[in-house]
Amino acid sequence: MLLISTTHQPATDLGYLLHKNPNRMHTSNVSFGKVTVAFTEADVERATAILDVDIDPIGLSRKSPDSNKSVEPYLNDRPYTANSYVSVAIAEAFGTAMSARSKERPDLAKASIPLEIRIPVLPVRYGIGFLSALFEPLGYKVEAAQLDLDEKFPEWGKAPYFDVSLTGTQLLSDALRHLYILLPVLDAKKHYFMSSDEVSKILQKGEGWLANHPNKDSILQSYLGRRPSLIQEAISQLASVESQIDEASSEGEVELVPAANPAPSLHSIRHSRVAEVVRQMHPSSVVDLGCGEGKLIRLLIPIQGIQKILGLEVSYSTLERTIRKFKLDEDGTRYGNRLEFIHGSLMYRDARISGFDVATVVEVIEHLDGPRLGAFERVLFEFARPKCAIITTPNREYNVLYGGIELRHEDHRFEWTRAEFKNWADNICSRFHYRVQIESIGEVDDNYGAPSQMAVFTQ
Amino acid sequence: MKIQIPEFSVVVVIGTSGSGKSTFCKKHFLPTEILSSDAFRGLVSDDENRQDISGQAFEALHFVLEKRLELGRLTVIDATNVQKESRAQLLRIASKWHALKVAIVIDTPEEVCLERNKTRPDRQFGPHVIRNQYREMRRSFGAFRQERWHKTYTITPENMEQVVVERERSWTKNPDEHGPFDIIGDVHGCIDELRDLLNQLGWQIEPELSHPKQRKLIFVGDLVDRGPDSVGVLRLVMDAVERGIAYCVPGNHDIKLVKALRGQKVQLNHGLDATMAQLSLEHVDFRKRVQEFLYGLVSHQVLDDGKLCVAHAGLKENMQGRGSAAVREFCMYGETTGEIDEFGLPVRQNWAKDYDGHALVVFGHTPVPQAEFFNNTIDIDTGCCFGGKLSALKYPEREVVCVSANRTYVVPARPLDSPATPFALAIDDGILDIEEVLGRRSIETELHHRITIREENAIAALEVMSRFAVDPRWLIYLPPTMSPCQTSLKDGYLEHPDEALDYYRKAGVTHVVCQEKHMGSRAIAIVTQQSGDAEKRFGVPSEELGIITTRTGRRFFNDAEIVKQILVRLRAAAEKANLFTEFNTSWLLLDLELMPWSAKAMGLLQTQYAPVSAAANHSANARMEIARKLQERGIDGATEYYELAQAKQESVEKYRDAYRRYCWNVTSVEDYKLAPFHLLASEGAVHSNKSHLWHMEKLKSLCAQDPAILRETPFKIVELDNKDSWQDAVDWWMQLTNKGGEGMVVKPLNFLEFEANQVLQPAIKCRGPEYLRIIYGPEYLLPANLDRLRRRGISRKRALASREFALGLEGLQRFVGRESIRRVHECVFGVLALESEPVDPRL
Repeated sequence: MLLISTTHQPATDLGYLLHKNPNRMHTSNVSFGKVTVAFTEADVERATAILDVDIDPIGLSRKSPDSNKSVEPYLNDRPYTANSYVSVAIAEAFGTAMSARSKERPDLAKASIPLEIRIPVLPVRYGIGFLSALFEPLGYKVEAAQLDLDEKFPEWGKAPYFDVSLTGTQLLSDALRHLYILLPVLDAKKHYFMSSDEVSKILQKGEGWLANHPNKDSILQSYLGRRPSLIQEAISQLASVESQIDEASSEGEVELVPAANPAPSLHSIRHSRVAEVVRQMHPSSVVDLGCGEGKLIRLLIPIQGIQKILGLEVSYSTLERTIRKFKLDEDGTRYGNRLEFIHGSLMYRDARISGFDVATVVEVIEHLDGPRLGAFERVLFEFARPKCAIITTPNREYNVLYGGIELRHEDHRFEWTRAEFKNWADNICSRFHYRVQIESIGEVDDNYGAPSQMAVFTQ
Repeated sequence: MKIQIPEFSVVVVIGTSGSGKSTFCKKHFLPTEILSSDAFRGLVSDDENRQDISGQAFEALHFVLEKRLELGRLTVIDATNVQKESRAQLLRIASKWHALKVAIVIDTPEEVCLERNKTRPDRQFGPHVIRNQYREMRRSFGAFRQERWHKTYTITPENMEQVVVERERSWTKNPDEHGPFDIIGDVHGCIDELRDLLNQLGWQIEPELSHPKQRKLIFVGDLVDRGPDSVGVLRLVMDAVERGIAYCVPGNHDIKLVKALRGQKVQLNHGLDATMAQLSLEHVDFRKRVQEFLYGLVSHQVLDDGKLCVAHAGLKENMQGRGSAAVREFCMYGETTGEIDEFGLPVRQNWAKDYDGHALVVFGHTPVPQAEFFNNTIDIDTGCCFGGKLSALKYPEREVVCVSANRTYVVPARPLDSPATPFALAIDDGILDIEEVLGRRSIETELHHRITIREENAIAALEVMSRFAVDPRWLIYLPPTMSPCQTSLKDGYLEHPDEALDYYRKAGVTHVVCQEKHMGSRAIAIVTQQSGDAEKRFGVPSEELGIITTRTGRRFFNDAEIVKQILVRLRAAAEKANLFTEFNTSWLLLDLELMPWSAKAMGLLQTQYAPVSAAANHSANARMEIARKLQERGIDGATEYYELAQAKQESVEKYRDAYRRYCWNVTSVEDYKLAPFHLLASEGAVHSNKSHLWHMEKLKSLCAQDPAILRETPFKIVELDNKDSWQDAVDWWMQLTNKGGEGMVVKPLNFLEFEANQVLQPAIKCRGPEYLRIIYGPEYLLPANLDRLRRRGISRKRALASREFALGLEGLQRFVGRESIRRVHECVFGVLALESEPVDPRL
């Protein structure tokens, strides 16, 4: 739902600008429900048009391909928030106004007028700062009140929605086009109308304001979702764009990029170091346990002398994606038959992972439940028995420097201090007859050590 | 001419091309039993006569042969088999699978073969091929005698027509013998203890051995040596076996005695000297009888439809019912490695550690302090001759009965309670193998026959099991999913009790129980009686008192302290209610609902239910404001708009109220409520053979002990052919749901009910209209929405519920039957895998 008010005199002109008679209800059907336009006031001093998008939740979820997967579709905030459906409704109801045309008031359509836009329930990802960062550069004053999650349970905190007012002097067509693009950008949920002509839509609706918007990169990334190809296409078509979008960020959550970050991530430092240690071992076979998308394996492939690289991953969807990325789905013998990925688990004894020269277990153990760590220890050190095992895990002490967070990832079941890690490693050595060397990974702090730690076990 | 073929054997037919092998095979064996080399040539190359691909053809033939032997199928090899090397390969495979080996030589004169070949247009090879084959066959006849065939037959053209092939049943298999049995451990000449034990088992010894309930005896062997009266024991056992009231399998001592009696050279030690001395005082006829009796003993017995296997030293699954020399060797001595321990005794491999067979294996041979079930095996040699006990296992009761030895007749080389006794240490180590869970699987269950787990479901389950589930040793049960009732067509209802009750009425059930559906989360609790029980019974090396898991096998609470406090209370309540004593158990398994729902579902509440409510209510309020203004302006259509806005506002408010009922803040252990509704299992018993009334009563007594955290489940028994009783249930449901309650669950009064041999749904849920807002969205009751929602299919959900129910109970049966953790885990894993089937989650 959306309310657009003006105090332009005479305010009744708003009807002409929107091509809607202020004294009637205008309803039209769209594929996802019904759109109503009406005026709650239409005086000389002030007029307010409302756009009410009545989304049919049942129709929506019945169409959803995920309807078998989770409760989500039937229980959905879509009918109650201003999101990409509302964008579509804007284009549907106010198409003419968006292109700055008006039969009766052609000049006014090309003039800035004082506007006030209220959006009662606006989903805002990344919080109020992001909202301001999007609208203030366009000349709006932003007022927003965050909704409570549930007033009966104040301890639950706030809902991710704001009741928002935007005021500013704008071309009405611009304001509509701002909303058209920025509503889906603010919404963290999936953009329902993603198609290949999204790029042309964003270029058309963004004409005249998007290219100069200071946060255009974030806008593009958010609007186009995680589609690097679409983003690149849009960037190259937007004039005077020199910025680059890191391909890596297209894999993870889209982030509001605050500044360029030229330093290599901890992730890549860790992988490089592990690969280096592997190289020094001169192994003929390596198994990467919990290989994820195969980032470490990419570094192992160039190492000469390794005749067999096996990646094991418990998440089947990740595994399938990885196999596709390495193009092993087209030709399993790529990389001279050296590389193979298998679905498996560190909780079960597995003959397929035994007898390797090196096993790498990078940032995996902290995802295992404490009480089941024992099973992993036996699976690896008693049954798989690699000649060398390289295990990395975060150093909890360092979290102080991350603002004192408890755990670095919501799926981490534990994080160890340097002493705890050493204790554990020593215990492994005495039980399974290995020797261990521990080193730190990442920049070392005098008090808290390095962000990550690595143990190299050898028989 | 009669040819006798043991039912599990590899029959190798030997003869040149044109000798009539194939014709012979086709006449006497099933087409599927015959593996013909020519057929395999055809399979791999489209040409049955092509000779240059023999390698590939035989590789394929050998592969199929192995698969057939793995499944215990008799197999006939129709190939020339004239070369020693080609026969050697077949013999090796037969040995590997413990099949008996039968050779049939088709000795047709060379000229006849040559003549036949000429008339076959498809045969392109010349006469030299047949001549070579003939020569080769003749030449290898020398080797033939050393090839250790169990039986060999030669067929000539003269007797070819008269041949009759007979199949011999395996002597080790007696599937139709169902007992009940009293299985007696190693007696070793201890006649007095044997008599005492038989007395205790209810046997009458005079005037002749008999049991009032027609039970039968099985002796696990080692009747003789070491004890005082081997002759007395032999006499008793031989009489019983000859009268058909006993079975006996041979032990190593018995076999050694036969050898001695037959004059073979054996060392007269380990008590054999005394036995021989005792026998020498007997009449020669008696000695002859003993010799014949012991010589005729069959290595082991598979009884009761394959559910029971008795062998002296135990037997692996792939050897059961089979008769090779390796099988006999194993039955006699078990698996030895050749190593000798510090007591000078052979080191015995603990084959039982890896046993996960279907049959209960009862054995002796290795003295242990106690006869205890382990991985569906039990060693009942409790060392009577060494001053221990003589034990018997009652089957199918699975009860152990024993008498103490009157004295120590022989001092054992290894002390009876030595920790080196391998079987006493046999606690499962809880490490499972990936091969046992991945891939397409098929699980045999009592309730639902065979249940197939598709590979993609196993894949999904592996991830959940690995990342979230508790230790598999704790995870002995997962509850089945529950289907809702058929969709109601009554105005304003998606679900109504009429349909739930009607399901059971139509299936011929007369009484059902309706239980209030608590507004919490399903949980499974195991509570042990005292510290150490977790380790002793579950093998979990922890001080935990038990465990509480969710319906997908996760730990219910992340906070160990809360679990501990709850379990302490639960343990105390169970103790006070006398449940541990009543069921003679150290643990109980409870199926229950744990409240508040917010305790488990906080994540879902805060990321889904509450945000939708916040957005919906704020949006509805804004719309109401608009609607009022439009009405004030008198716009056409404003009234309809207002009415719809009002209906929506009402819906979203009701939705908010609905989910709020599930939330309360918890600060102490007493803020949690546990409402148990099934007392599912205790030591040795799965209580699915009791009625729900029984469960309700037992649990009522439990809940009464600690009402601060335990909550009884209100219920009603309904007579389905009594209108008033039916209406009473409907009224009750109305009452519950008008207050916003979740509804009720309807179950047949007996835990298990069947219709046409199919197990009925164990429970049907019937949810209240307000609760369903949480499931179908705030506005689902608006007429336009409700009509569309009525189109929902529940048959998949029901099929799934039945299969999960059967698997869940099967896993428990296996656990209480002391089967291996692998066999239990297989079922639990199966339930989890089935849960990944795509089924509408709102059902």
